Amino acid sequence: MGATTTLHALPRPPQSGGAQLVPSAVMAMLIFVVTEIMLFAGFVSAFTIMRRSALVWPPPGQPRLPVMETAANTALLLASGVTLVIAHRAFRRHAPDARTPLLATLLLGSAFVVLQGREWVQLLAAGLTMTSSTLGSFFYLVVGLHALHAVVALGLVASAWSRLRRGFLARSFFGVTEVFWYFVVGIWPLLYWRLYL
Amino acid sequence: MSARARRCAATWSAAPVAALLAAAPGTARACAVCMGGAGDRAETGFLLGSLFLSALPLVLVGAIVLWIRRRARLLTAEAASGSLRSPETPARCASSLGTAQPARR
Repeated sequence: MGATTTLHALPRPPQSGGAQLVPSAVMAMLIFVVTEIMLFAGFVSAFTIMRRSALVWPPPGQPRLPVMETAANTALLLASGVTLVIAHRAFRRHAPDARTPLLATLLLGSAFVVLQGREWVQLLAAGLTMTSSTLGSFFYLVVGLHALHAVVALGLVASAWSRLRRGFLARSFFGVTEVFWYFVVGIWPLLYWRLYL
Repeated sequence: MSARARRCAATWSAAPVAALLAAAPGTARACAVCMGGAGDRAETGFLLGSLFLSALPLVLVGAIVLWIRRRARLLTAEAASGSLRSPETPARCASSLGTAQPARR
């Protein structure tokens, strides 16, 4: 009896769909992104130590990384972040208006992944492999991990766009997509600076 | 040579090596995985890496806490001004998070 009284005295949990401070899905994605940032930070830190310890850098006999081409790719990725911001604002005003900027995000992100893949093919042909040098090992590990995240994030963006096109997109799902894509976009300049420059 | 004599000789030959290492602490500190031979640059790399990895979790958690505080203030202010909408209508104050919003065709 007493237990029942206590239960009644407890504050009621917020109803689903209420103005939640941070939706659980978005909070979970934020925590996941924090762990991913720490993973990349570990790799970048190890790469920095290895690079500073090397007597000669880049390793002799290894192809140079394409700085300018990747700068153009970086611009594409940053532009996809901008289009997602536009989609976010459009979604708040009138959801269907977010379709076009969301599609632009998808296309720009896909172009980034495809061009990075093309760069890999060229570098492999030039002799930079996972086992050819420490530069190759770190390059394929870190850039490959980022590409994997980009592909997963593109899947989320594609799913959000498809749901919006069909007429129903949950705000929490859109929030999760945004957090993950901003992570993919935001971490890349750091990787570019450390690996390529 | 007896075992005692061998031990004695080993002790006396180790003494100069120990003295040399004490005179050159940089070399004595070197280890197989520390790349000590590379000099100051490696040391700086380790220092920067340690600082970066130590500060990053604090920055990330701090940023999330600040963001949540900002959202809480925003929601409180909008609730106070009466612009907080009911869950049935899309809540603009909740920005892009929280409720499902049907897309109008």
